Amino acid sequence: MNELQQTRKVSQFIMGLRMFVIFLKTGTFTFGGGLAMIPVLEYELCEKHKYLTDREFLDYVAISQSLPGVVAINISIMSGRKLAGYWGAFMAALAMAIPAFVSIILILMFLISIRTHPVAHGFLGGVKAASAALIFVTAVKMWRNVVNAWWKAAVAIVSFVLIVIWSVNVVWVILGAGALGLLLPFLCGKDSRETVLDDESLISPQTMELLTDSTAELPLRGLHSRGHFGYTPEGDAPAQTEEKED
Amino acid sequence: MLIGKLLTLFYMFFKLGLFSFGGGYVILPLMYQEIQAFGVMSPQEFSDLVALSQITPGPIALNGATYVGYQYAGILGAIVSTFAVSLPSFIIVLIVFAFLVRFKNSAPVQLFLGGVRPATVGLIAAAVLFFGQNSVFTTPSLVELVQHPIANTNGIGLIIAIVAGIALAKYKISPIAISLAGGALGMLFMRG
Repeated sequence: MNELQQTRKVSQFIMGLRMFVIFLKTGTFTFGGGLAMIPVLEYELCEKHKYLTDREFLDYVAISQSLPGVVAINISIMSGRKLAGYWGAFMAALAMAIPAFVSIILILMFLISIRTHPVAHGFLGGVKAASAALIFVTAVKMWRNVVNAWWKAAVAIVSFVLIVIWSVNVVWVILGAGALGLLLPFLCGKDSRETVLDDESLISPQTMELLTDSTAELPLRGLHSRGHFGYTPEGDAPAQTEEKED
Repeated sequence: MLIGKLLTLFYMFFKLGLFSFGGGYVILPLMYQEIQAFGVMSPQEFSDLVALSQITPGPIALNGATYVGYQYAGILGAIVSTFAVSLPSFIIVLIVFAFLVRFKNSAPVQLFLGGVRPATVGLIAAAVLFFGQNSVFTTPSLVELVQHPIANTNGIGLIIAIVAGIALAKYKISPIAISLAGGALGMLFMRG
């Protein structure tokens, strides 16, 4: 038992160092803002090493966006914590901060004139054009992973429009979409429940077992019993369960 | 004197880390307000930061923290500012993570995340337009872009974007290599 704990500690230590390398790489080669690192991190963490699933990564992005602070640091802390504990969280955030820190210090010390230099301007233009395409490809991949019902397509498109045209703060968009997800089973009943719960990767085996065991109103059961939103079990949903029991 | 400056920086950036929601482009204006309130640097110096944070790697808010801290109190100031702006994240994110692990499988959390995921896809897609500005598209106005798509597109930027997209989607080349190649092409053909 003691030995097992020790190996776990060692492997967590190594994983923390790996986090450091991945986030240092990401922080060094992403220009023009934190969002440029989404394709890079998705590639490194999900595609190449398979440390995280796409859905987990998407959840971390969403949560990081809706919490205060620097989004890139939030994502680093969250991924690092998941993969290598508190040590990993620290290493990932440190690695993310180092390139931003060092580059500014070096420029302030040695070449403050770089910001108006045409070559730097051209470099940034090229990087941004490539980043736009990389983010687009990542967004399409995420869409395929996540959008499996018409209402999810609608949520994605409405969020896009709210942010692009009305410049709504992303925090409101995320909270609004989450609230919609919570309320949908009450508004539309059974159909929406199925589309929410097909995110199998995030559901524990126990929950899946319950789900496949009985087709009862599982996600709503907890809500009913606690009386969320003042919902009283009348109307469609309970009637359906009764039918199935017959 | 130096300690007073460092304390000012710590207070300023801790507050920014704690109360700014929505990423770098929300933090920069808030940072500007703080800087004016404390008289840390001139508006001219701050406007340099906006240009500088674009061409340096890493998150814009961290570039900003380093820049303001260094200009005001040297290298120690830069360290204190970066540390202070990240500290609230550690506290808040780790608490939220613990909550998430504990309640991951509960119905309300799953329903909430089920709604949030597609919205996140939408907001990642919105970043495409942001990065396309001044690189693929030459106008910030979406209406103008739709009305005159050809006049408002930078040919070289568009080619870089198409090649970059294919390189990732089809050949799964590392995004870092792709964006550096894009930068190299930009250096050759996109000097404005």
